[in-house]
Amino acid sequence: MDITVINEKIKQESAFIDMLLQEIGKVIVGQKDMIEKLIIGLLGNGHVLLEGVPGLAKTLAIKSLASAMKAKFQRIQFTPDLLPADLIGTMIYNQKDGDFTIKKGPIFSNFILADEINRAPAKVQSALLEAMQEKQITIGKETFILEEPFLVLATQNPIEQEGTYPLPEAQVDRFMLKVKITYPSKEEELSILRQNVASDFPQINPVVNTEDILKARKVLQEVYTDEKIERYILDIVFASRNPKEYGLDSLSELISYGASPRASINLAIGAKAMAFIRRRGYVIPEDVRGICQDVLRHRIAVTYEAEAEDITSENVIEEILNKVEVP
Amino acid sequence: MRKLIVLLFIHIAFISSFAFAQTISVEAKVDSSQYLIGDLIHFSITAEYSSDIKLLKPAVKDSLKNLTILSIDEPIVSEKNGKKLSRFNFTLSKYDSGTVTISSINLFYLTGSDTSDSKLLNLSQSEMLNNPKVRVIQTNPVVFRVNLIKVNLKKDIKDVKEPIKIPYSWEELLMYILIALLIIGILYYIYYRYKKKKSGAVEEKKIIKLPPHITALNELRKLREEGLWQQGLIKEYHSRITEIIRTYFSKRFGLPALEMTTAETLSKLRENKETEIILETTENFLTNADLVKFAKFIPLKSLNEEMMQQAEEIVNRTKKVETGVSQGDEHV
Repeated sequence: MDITVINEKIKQESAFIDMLLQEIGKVIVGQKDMIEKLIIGLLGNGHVLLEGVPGLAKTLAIKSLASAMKAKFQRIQFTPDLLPADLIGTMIYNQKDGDFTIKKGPIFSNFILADEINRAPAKVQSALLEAMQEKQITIGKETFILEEPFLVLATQNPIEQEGTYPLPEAQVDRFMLKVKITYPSKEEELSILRQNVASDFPQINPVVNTEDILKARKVLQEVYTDEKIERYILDIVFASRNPKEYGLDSLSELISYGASPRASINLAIGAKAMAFIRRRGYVIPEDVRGICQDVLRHRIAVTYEAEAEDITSENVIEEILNKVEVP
Repeated sequence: MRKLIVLLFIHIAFISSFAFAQTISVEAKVDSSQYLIGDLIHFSITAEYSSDIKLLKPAVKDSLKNLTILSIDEPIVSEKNGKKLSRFNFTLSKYDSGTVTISSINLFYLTGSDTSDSKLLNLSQSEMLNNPKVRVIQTNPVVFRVNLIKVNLKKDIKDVKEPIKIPYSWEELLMYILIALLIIGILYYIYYRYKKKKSGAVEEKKIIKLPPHITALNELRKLREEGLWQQGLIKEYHSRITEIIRTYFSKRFGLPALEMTTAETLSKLRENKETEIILETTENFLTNADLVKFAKFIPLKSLNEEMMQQAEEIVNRTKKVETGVSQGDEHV
């Protein structure tokens, strides 16, 4: 398909993004990057894990995104006493009929806000992560396919690790993106302050429906990714596995294990979604770099030596991006 | 008369035994009847036989299975009084005390025309025993005793003796010295060759570093001559031309432009006053190239030509004119 045709198609199908941003912007001040990444998750059909210290509007951002869409939304507060049945549902004995009936859990929604996911025990995390992967739930003998779009937006707090159940690497890998949220700027915080002190807090109206998202996902598949870009993605991922081959000898002692093939897939999808948001019918290296940290930061593990020197996976990714040649 | 018949019979039997029967006798013996444990036991089998007999090697393994066979000598064959004498010598040892009996050993032999039958020579022991052509004679059993070393319990227990130090012989010492000298010689030769090669390379090659703009313009000229886009290799043309300019930026302004995206490169160029004049051209140049490289965009011929002009403009407007050439890492 000609590039102008794809561009035109994207222009049409991405119109809802502006409406979505405008609506969320009523409540969320700044945090443009976080909202952009949430939309990328939405378009790329990938779940998003938000990490940031308390009070950075992680929950509010997800709630706002869900509220701006005509879709079913559920918020689940993960606590240590939560059970898998509280999440997926259970069989309940009906005395009237003398039979068991299925009571579906809150997971049967389009958007799930798994708040403070690391506060629930492993069995609950596993139940959620299994649903995320399979996109289906089995209760008793019956299996239910979850309605599309199905997106899990989880939050976790990097501090206060006492009494938490950190997500195992294999399960974190199922999140397409791990977005880190930082403090707002002084100006942004002034707006937040004024908005919250004011008597009327803005209300979010649903402006986008699920069909728009599903249509946009189809168009996203048509976004062109050249072989040069694919090779660039592979170079980045492979540099995390074999740093020495890319002249990154200093990193070989710092990386415990590199990114998985799932990282390559999500990097390609994420870059396409990024191009879509930028109303472009083709992927450029900027799109890959723009999503790289969020796709790779939870997929590259650093060694104890690196941790001792305060070197994080973000530093490693930065080093890789600085060294791998851009096509 | 009766006496005469008996004498005649004895005489005939005596004569016929000389005329037709082959004679063979064997004897097995050891050199002593008493040995100490681990001593060498010299065991021998001696066979005396007439010349029309062909003696085969004795099968000793079964009879000597309780002993350790240290060596088996080649048989010694001699002649004595018109008879052949074969002697088989074995050196044995025994590492256990007690009375040892070497049981009778089968000695196979062939007679008459069978001596020339080569097939019979290769038979196994069991086949020989079952073959009527192969005859057998057995040795006498041999008995001897292997004794333990007597220990005088009344004497003090002595420590194990130190290993005996064998002094170096002159020949051995000389051999070591020669080996050492040879290794030193080889190492010195390798070092000499390496040093010569290294110094020679520096002497031979005069490296001249060209200014970045000359290199870039040379590369652009080379690219133009290759006529890539005219051959339909449009993507390759745009990739090469941007690579030349990005390399030029990295050499001229110290930007790691090869590892930077278009937006990052432009952002860095904006920070530099020297590049203000080419900012717009560079933006057009890199954006158009991205469109060709990463989108399915087929540019007009004019754009391909314009790209070359823009590239030359970028280089010419930002070149740093130097008076001479300096030494560096680039060849002319």
